[in-house]
Order: sequence, then C-alpha cells, then structure tokens
Amino acid sequence: MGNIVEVINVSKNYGDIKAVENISFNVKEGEFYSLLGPSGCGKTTILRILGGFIEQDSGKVIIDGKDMKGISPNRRNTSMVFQDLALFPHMNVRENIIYGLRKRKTRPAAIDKKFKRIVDTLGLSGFGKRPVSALSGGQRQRVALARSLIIEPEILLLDEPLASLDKKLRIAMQDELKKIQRKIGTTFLYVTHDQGEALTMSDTIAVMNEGKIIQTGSPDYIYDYPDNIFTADFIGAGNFIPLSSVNNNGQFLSIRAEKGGEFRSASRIPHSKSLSVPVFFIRPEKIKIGSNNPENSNIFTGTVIASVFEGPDIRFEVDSLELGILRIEIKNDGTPPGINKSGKITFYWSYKDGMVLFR
Amino acid sequence: MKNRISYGLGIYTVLFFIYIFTPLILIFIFAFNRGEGYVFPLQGFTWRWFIEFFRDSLARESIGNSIIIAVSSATISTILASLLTIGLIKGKFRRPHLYITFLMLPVLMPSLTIGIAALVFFRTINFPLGIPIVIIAHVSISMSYVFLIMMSRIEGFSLSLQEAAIDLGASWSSSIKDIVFPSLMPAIVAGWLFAFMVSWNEFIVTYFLIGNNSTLPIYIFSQLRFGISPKVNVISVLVALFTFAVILILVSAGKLNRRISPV
Amino acid sequence: MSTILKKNRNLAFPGLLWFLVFFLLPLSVILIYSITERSLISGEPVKFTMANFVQVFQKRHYLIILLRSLRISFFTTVISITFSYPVAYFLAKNTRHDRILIVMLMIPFWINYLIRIFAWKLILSDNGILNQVLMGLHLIDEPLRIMYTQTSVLLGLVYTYTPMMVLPLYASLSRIDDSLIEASLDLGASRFRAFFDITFRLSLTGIFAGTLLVFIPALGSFAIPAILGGTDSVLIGNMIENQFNIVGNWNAGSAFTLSLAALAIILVLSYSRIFGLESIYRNRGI
Ligand SMILES: Nc1ncnc2c1ncn2[C@@H]1O[C@H](COP(=O)(O)OP(=O)(O)O)[C@@H](O)[C@H]1O
Ligand SMILES: [Mg+2]
Repeated sequence: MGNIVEVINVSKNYGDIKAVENISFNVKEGEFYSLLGPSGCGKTTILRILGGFIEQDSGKVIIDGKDMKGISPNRRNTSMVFQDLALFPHMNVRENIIYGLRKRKTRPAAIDKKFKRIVDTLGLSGFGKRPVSALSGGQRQRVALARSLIIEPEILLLDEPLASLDKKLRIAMQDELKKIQRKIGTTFLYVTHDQGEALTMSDTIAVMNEGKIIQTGSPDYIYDYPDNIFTADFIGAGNFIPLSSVNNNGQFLSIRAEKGGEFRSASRIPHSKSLSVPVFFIRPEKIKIGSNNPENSNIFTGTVIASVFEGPDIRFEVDSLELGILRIEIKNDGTPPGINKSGKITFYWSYKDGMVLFR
Repeated sequence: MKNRISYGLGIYTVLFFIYIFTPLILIFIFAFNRGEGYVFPLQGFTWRWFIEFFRDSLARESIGNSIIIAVSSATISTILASLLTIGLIKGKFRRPHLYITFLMLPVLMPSLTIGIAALVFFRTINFPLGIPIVIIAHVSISMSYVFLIMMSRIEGFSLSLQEAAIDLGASWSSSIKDIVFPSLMPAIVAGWLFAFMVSWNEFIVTYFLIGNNSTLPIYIFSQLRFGISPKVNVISVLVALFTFAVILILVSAGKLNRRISPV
Repeated sequence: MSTILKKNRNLAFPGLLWFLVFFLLPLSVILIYSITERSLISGEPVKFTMANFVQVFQKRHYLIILLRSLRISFFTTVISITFSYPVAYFLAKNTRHDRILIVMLMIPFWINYLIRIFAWKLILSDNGILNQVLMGLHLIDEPLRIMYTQTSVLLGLVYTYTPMMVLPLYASLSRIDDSLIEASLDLGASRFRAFFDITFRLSLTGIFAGTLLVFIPALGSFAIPAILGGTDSVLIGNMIENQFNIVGNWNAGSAFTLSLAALAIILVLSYSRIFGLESIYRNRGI
C-alpha cells in the first residue's frame, strides 16, 4: 500500500498567526488517519488546504502522485464533510446525495444504482423524499457522508463531523463511521479535538499543537509511549511527577522526585532540549493499590484525599509525601481495595511502566 | 388578566383593520354605483364604469406603463441587490461596513431627492426623459431596500454550503446558481415584491421624469384635479381582485406558512 | 486567499457601479448646481455662491414650510407608533394567524395610495361621508371643516404610512423570547414593569426601522399635501416641486433638495446613535 497523500513542509499564515507551520505527513491508501489537537491548532486549515479551499504559503501537497498546486476543489479527488454538514436546505435527501453525480453528468440509470447502494450501506433507505430539515442529527450526519461518498473520492476529509451530536449519539456514530470506512475502504482523513474519538476510530493519529505535528503513530503506541508532555497530557489522563535528578546506571534509570521520593524506571531517556525540566509520567491505571510487593516495582505510601466511583472504574486522588498528589485508577472488580480507616494506602507500579519526559 | 388584555388587543386589531380597509371598501362600492357623484344613498348597480374604463385608452396605457416600470425596476433592482449582498457579505472585502453605510444613504433620504437628482443629472447630460429614466430612478430607490432585506437573511447562509457544492464537483458559477440563489429565494421574493410595491406606488419621482408618458399614479393624479370619475375606482377593484387571487394561490400552495411576508 | 471569496466579491461590482453612476453622480451634480448661479448648460461662466442655501434658512416663508414639514412628519411618526404598537403586539404574541393578517395588511399597498387618499377626500370633505353620517345622526348641524387643512394632511399621512410601522414592529416583537418575560415575572416584576423593561426595550429596534419607513417618506411627501392640503399645508416636497416646475430655478431647487436630504440624514443618524445603524438591517422587518 502506497501513500495516497503526501504533505511536505506545508506552512500557512494568517497575518501574524502561524496557523500551520512546516507540517509534513503521509497517509496510506485505505487508512483512517486522524489529526488530533486542541481547538485553534490548525487542523481545519490543513484540511482546507487538502480540499483545495485555501492555498498553502509554502510546501507541497501531493495526492495520488500528483502535485495539487492550483487545482480547485471541484477537480480534486477529495471530498469534504463539513463541521456544520452544509446540507443544502432547499433540496431533499435524494437531491442532496446525488448532487455530485449530477454535476458529473452521470447517466440517470447509474445515478439510481449508486444512490440505492449508498443509502443501503448507510441505512438511509426510504428517506429520499424527506426534506433535510426533517431529519435527526444522526440521519443528517449520514446524508452528509452519503453525499460525499457517492462520488467515490479517493480521500474523504472530515472536519469534526460529530462535534455537534450529543454524547450517546456521538459514540454510536464513532463505531458506525469506523465500520463504514472498513466496508468501503476509502481513505479517511479525520480532524478532531476529541481524543476518545481519535483513539477509537483511527489507524494512525497525528497529534498537533500550535500549528505543528508533534507525534505520529498508532492509537495504542501514542497512548502508551507519548514522547512529549503535550501528547501525554492531551491523550488520556496522566500523573506528572516533577523530578530533581535522573541517572542512568546502565540497567535502570535511578530517579529522584523533587519531593524526595526515589524510584527506578526501565524506560529510556528521550533526548531533551537543554534547560528543560524532567518529569516522570505515569498513567493512573498503571498504579496498583496493595502491599503484596511484586518484584521490580516501586512502592510508596500515601493518604486518600478523594475517591470517585465511575461504574467500571474507581478513581482515587492520593497525597504522597515523597511524590506529591497522584491519580490512581483501578478496575471495579467487586473486591474492595485495602484502604484502612485513616485513608493510608500502599501503592506500587512496575519499573517498566511510566517514562521520563521533559517539560 | 392576561386573557382580558389579549381580548382587548384583539378588538383593537379588528378596529385597526376596519380603519385600514374602510377607504378601500368605499372605493369598491362606488365602482358599482350608478350615480356620478360620491353621495349616499346609493343609486343602484351598474357596470357602466367598467365599460368606460376599458374604453379609456389613456387609462389602459397608464396601467401598461406602470406594470412595465414596476416589473423591470423590481427585477433589475433585485438582481443587482442580491449580487451585491452576496459579493459584499460572502466575498472578500476589506471593509464591508464602509460600503454598507454608503448603500444605506438612499434609505435615509426622501425618494423625492433621488428623483430631483436624476432629473437634473439626465437633463444636464441631455438624455431624454421617459420610461427608461423612470426605471433607472426606481431601481436607485428600491435597490437599497432590497439590499437591506437580503442582508437581514444572508447572515443565515453559511459559506460552507457553497464550498460543499464546489467540493462535490460544481463550478463556481453553478454553485451560485444551484445553491446560493435558491437558498436565498425567500429573501429574493420578498425583495422583489417590495421593489415592485415601491415602484407601483411611486408618484413624485415618476412625475418629474416621465416626460410625455403616463403611469397609473400620474393618470390618477391628473384625474383628481377635475374631480375623479368613478371609472378610476375600477382600477382598484381589478388590482384588488388580482391581489386576492395571488394570495389565494399562495395560501392553497401552502407557501404562506413560510416567512415570505412581502416586507 | 480562497478563490471562492474572490469570485464572490466580483458579484458586488455591478450594483456598486450602478450606485456610483445613478445615485452618487446625480447627487454630485445637484451639489454643483446648488453652489452655483444659473444653469450649467447655459454656457456662461460658472460662478460659485452660497446664496441658494442661505435663502432656505433666511426667507421666513421657506423656514415656516420647513418647520411645518418637520412638525407634521414628527406627529405622523408618533401617531403611527401609537396606533400600530398594539396591533403589532397582538400579531406577534396573541394570534396564530399572524402571517395571513400581515399579508392582508399589505393589500392596500397594492392599490395605489393616490386612490386611497382620494377615498379620504370623499370621507373628509364638507359634503363627504363623515359629515353626511354625523349630520344624519344630528350630532352636528354644520359640516366639519377638515379637508384642505393640516389636519387632513396629517390624517392622510398617518393612514398611508402606519402599516409600514406595523411590519418592523411585528418583526422585532415576534423575535422576543416569551420566556424572558416569564422569567422577569417570576422574579417578581409587575406585568407593567416586565413590559417596559423587556418587551418595549427589545422592540426599540423595530420602532427605529419603522421610523425610517414613516418619517422619511412623510418628510418628503408631495402628493398627499397636494391632494388633501390647502394653502396653509404646503410642505417641503411641494416647495421643491414648485422651484423646478413653476419657478424653474434649478440652483435654488437643488439647494432645497440637498437641504432636505441632509436634514433627513442628520435627524436619522442622530436618532440612530441610540440604536446603532446595524439595527436597520438586523431587523427582519425591512
Ligand atoms: N480566515 C482566517 N483568518 C485569520 N485567521 C484564521 C483564519 N482561519 C483560521 N485562522 C487562525 O488560524 C489558526 C488555526 O485555525 P484552524 O485551522 O481553524 O484551527 P482548528 O481547526 O484546529 O481549530 C487559529 O488561530 C485561527 O484563529
Ligand atoms: Mg476547526
């Protein structure tokens, strides 16, 4: 499988604002590729450059081996699902969906066939004559997808298409989007600020901040091995323990927290800029509660200052004298964790969990 | 308490409508009254004024001119104003508000001044008075109103609709034709009706610019000087019947459920 | 920048060009007339003067007409606001048949206003319908003299332009969220206070838009005073017409015309400082 999209050193400024700064990435054919980052980090700008609605100041966009310079949106083999969906209000569902085919002068018989196939795939059969104003949020979403997919684009560009849905529908639509993508095999380039969305659907995620891509990888890799604080903090939850020293003794890192706690880690030190401050990062669910002292783990004690029951999980906030305040998350498996009346607990984590990052 | 207030308001509204419609009803009655004057008691039914009206070639010509002027000025004005609105609000302009303020000037001054300016301007460049100049002046008067009507609705039009059309393969011009204009249709219809109404009623500007021709208001005004013949009332009856027919068609087509109040 | 926005921008040019050639240019031409002596076409050398403007404000006769026009159009506006507010309120808040009633309200506009004004002449004249009814009922012995006075002009202006006030008022009132009023009633405001603090204040933009549609045409009216008025009810419009059609002095006429335009713009702009000019187009009423 080759790269269907190559973005090479693309930059775009709005006056003094660097919306996109020297960005490069590749998308493989058939991939579900997500750009994930906070609002204002330049995601929409990249997507609109790929769609041909705006032109980059510098750099190259290559789609299917062709340089896209000067090629207008209606001549690109991309299609965009807009954040506000942009369904044509004066057309019914069918007219909306077949608009692109009509512009391509497709024969009526072929239009009918393709229309039938797409509405069957997306569960929109029987809605053809409805005005788009008479649809639910999820249905409008599907009409927007169908309208773009029916013209068989090589790449579907999606700009936070689920942002306006309520939470339950959003989660249902995530699963559905992924299934649809598998079924039709079109490359999806998906933009979102919602890490949960990106983690559940994507094959590859590019994490963005302030106009730059700062890490790329599969969802589990990015979750488990963030290589910078921003990614670690933006995706999932994390504990960040400020450190005073980190020494490599060959086998392990010997680490000393600012509050005095000493512990070990099996991770590597990533390269750092000089003057940057080391921080130990560990996910709340990697910390276990108990005093059974397994091998190769760091053991500390602390006081529970808050606990939150979340159904499948229980979350604790623990104040440890040697480390500071930590979040711990354990599975709710019915057996109560060993916490005595005073709230004192012992907790531990394995040398292989967590890593040193630099601020 | 609340009910009593809305009851009172209801009665007031009925009285208001009676006030608005009484003069029209009088006109209707006298269009069918046999007597020459306008005095009660009535003197019996007649078609005489209808016959006299249709025999009056000046009246027919005036109505024809009025229709030509109103339809052309409303159409030109609506086309220019809707393009202007799309261009200014959905196009790249550095200071759209500067233009908007300027374009409001005609709304802020009596139409008489626009008529005078047109009269002096066209006489100075030695352009003959007549129907074309009247149409031009009516466009200048109504274009800003139509522009305002369009402005109040175009804010609800998202540029992504146009982008979506182009993304799906439409050219820029067919995105305007397929998407932008149809989405703005209610405002365009409202604007056209308003412009038509302005032109249809306009007297003073036409009076200055029409030259030797006549329009309905001019015809009526000239009749008023000698005491008006009841045949003039026939015009109102015909216009009212026509309006009622249009309203009935709109109502039965369910179009009035949407917001297309003509102003 | 996006090529779509650039292409869209070009659509504005025909309208802007029209505005330039058929509005701004003619206006500049009368500006030139108003500050010169004699006709530009006559071929004589042009002499600049302010005399045309000075006489507008110096000759007692002109000043009286100017003030009268202002007074009559002011009263027209105030009366039309008072008349139409309850109707607009009823249409916006108390009925579900508002659309069809609004359309009905527009019917008179399709019938030429000169004919409607003529009907008022029938009603108001000495042997007109009003006097016939009143004398028939023996309420009066002598016919009331209403025609050819400032009162008849005022009645005619109010009748003609009041529906224009109803529309924007209705639009602004129907946009007010009822829950706002209920909330303020919940908070203990009296119905009266709730009306003034919320409903009335939010409808001010409608009043403003309506004022534009009533005050300005009334200020520049010609036909209504010409038909219903007498010698004591000549307005600026009639005076300007007189300058062009009878006196034939284009320079003075241009000065009068520009004074009228400037007066209208200054009044409306100072009035609009209260509301902001945008409220004109934000208001769906016009
Ligand atoms: N048309 C524009 N004019 C000026 N600044 C813009 C424009 N579009 C985007 N920006 C700025 O560029 C940055 C990136 O915007 P965007 O790509 O929309 O971010 P995102 O989609 O990630 O929220 C933001 O700071 C935004 O304010
Ligand atoms: Mg965005």
